[in-house]
Amino acid sequence: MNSLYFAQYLVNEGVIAEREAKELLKEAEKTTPGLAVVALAEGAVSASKLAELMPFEKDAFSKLAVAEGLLFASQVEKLQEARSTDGLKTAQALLDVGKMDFMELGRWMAACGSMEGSPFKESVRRIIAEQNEELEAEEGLYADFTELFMRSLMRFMDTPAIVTECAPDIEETLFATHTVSQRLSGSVSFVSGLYASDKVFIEMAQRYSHELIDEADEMAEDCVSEFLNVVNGLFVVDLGKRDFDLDLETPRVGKNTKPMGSRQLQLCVDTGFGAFTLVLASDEVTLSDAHHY
Amino acid sequence: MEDNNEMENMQEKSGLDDRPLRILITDDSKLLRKKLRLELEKFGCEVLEAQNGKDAVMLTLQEKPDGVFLDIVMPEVGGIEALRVMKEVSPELPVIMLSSAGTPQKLMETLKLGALDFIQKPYTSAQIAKAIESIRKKAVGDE
Repeated sequence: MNSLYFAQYLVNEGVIAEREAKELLKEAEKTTPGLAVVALAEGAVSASKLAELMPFEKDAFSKLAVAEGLLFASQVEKLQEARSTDGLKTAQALLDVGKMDFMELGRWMAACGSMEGSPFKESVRRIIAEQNEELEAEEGLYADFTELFMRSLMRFMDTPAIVTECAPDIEETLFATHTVSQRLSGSVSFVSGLYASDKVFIEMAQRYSHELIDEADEMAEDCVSEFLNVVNGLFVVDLGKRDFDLDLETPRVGKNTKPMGSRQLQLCVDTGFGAFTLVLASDEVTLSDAHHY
Repeated sequence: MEDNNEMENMQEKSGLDDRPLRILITDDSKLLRKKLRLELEKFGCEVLEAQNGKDAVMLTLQEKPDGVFLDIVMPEVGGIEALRVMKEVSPELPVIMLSSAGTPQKLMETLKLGALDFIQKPYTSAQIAKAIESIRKKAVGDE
């Protein structure tokens, strides 16, 4: 199973509602995947065996599995290593909150593993088809970027995340906010940006830099800008392989502004540490001209 | 442990009249400069910093570094223009491009202008170690 996709897959399939997923991500942030979940994801143990072996004890799996002759000690060690690098927090959180048992979890993990395509791209396509039909021409570009952005977010900020249509909580966006955007120009014109409450912005900066950052100051702006710059760079490299020649411009930062652009799509990104808005456009107005509160 | 040995070997091998390699980092990101400085200092390098291409060219002329890490996307003067000027005034200066904009076109352009290598962000410690080793070799060869 590609565990990075799991939360988004469950939302797209309607197994969990968006609101429920947001709460689940917060739970996932607090939990550590147990070895049983890792073993299930890796196909080392069947869901039915797990259900029979350990209905409740999250931490007893390794001892029980070895004692019952299900796994060798060396296999347990390998699973321990896999645990530190995977994104299975969502799966563990589903068990923790009692939303699923091992049988159901195993079924959905298998379904997610056999899925073709990307749930992030699927989500963007659905949002465009349902609410932003005029962006049909940009669909491919926006879906590709969102896929890369979400994977980078999980990789660099160590959090499960989902993308949904934009309806950020009022308390998240009404007060102090920060916007970072960067334009890519050349064969196509494209701007990506993100817009977050200062609280979420600081957390993003801290997670990306591994530095202690407690204010939405110049250093925080620098860290989030550099994150966006790295993601956009990877996107430009991907497009370069498809013969698109694009240049990156320097990232721009704004305080208490809303990004505005033409052909704009706003997506809500929920993570374990809060939500922010991802903004994609073909062009942007200058931040100084954008709407200020 | 392996890293420590690698570092000691590099320091022993530097052979530049026993002085450390002097490396100029050019990037508009404070975070990048901070992280890369720590990385380079682990290898015993003396580090200079510039925030844009214009300052980098000035420092290259004044401080004569042994090597440069150069970003491309920067305010005022970008990395490509800075590389062009650096190579005009110091053709032998080893310049490692360290940028997010690693398209095939940019790679070709910077290598044609004389860059020694191109590292796509985000970099790894191993890539930096390799770059330092190639700067060191060039510096020793040129002395």
